[in-house]
Amino acid sequence: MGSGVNNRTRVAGASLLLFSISLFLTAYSARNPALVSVGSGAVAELLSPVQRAWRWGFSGVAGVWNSYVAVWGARQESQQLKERLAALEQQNIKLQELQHENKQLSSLLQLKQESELSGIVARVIGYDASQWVQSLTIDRGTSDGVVIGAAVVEHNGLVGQVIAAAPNTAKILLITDPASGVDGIIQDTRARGIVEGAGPSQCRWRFVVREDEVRVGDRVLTSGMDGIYPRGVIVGTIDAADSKRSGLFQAIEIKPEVDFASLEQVFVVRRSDGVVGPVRPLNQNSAVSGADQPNTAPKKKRGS
Amino acid sequence: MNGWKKAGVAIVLALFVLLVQGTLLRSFLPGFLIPNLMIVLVTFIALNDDSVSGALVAFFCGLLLDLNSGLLLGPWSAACILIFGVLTTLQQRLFVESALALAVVVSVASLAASAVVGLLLWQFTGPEARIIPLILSEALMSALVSPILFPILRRWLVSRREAGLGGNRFRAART
Repeated sequence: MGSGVNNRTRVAGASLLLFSISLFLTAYSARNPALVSVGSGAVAELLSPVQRAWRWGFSGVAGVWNSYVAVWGARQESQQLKERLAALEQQNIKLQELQHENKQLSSLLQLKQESELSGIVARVIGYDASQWVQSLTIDRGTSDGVVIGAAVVEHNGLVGQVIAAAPNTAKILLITDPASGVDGIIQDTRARGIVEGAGPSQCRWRFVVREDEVRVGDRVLTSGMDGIYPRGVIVGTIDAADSKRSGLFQAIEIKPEVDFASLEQVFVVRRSDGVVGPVRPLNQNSAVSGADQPNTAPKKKRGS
Repeated sequence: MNGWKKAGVAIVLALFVLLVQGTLLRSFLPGFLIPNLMIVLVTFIALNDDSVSGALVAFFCGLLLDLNSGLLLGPWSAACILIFGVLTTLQQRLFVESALALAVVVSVASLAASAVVGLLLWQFTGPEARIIPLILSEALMSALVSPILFPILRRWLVSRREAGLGGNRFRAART
């Protein structure tokens, strides 16, 4: 009985101590993002070999699955054609995979040529395990020149920015995460505001004054004024806009251009000086006035 | 199995769970169908290993989720250790012998963890109500998979001798 009470006290004490440490860590890591970056990079490096192998194998598994579905229909028509059809389907799937990959790479290359962006192509190898943070892991890291703060795009539009980098992997904070911020403008009217994440497939556009003309379907681009994202990359289209509500600013919803659920390859933007990093070095932000240079780095860094 | 050896196996399992949740399940399933396997693991540990090593494993499980997200250290570790602390305290009063009771405990643990993580993250990122349906579905999915996963975890983490001792801590796994 006594030892049971002692054990319970010990466990309760340890739990309380660890809970306090967790709260301290939360506050400390918010002010010291480098701590998270190092730890996060280490875990990503540890898991990346398995994640790479899985991603590599996933295409094969998906191919087998698609093949099965296709063969099932053929079997009903003719049992004799099954084997031949399966072989042809396998070949077809391989070709489709190659075509798909080719199309993606061509689109990235086109984006690179059209917007004069340079950088490196990276493959998505993992996502955040919880629903709370919208982030993903790519198979390129500091050994490829990736640095924290680098903008990440896809042929369709803006993806996010690098928040942690290890030698062979990097973590990307998606623009749909509430901690993300992008300085955006409307292509036609040049209305300006900050695009913030609002969940798995939605963003909201904040600080757009009521006088600015915003219509559903308008395209939002990066302004390039935040020193992180290159100018002119598509962020998304206006999904809903309410200028009649009370307050100084409009309530605007943005549908991101990128389908984050099916993201396979991304493009990490290289600066003009060759570094795969933010368009302008982050430490130059302080030299620019606040009006011209809104802080769109992850919010946790605001305190640092 | 002694406490620390068990803790070692649990940590390896936690890494495996992180891989499955962040890579495998995300490749096949939409977000609303993905259970929080780490919370299932922490709940299992809380119901079966009320020791200091168990508390450290629960803390480590949360820390892994924090490190995986790459945004902040602490929210998930706070949530996991809180679940562990509350469940070990209530352990003697919980009779999770049926699959339904176990599912209820896991879903409440999942919701509680989300509440803690949400509260801590909101200090830095602002309120985000749109994630609530995802949190509810995550709790439901975690509850659904727990009666399947608990016997598997029991085989990995609870020795036959311990299982034979009876008592509430091992009853939880017999579903």
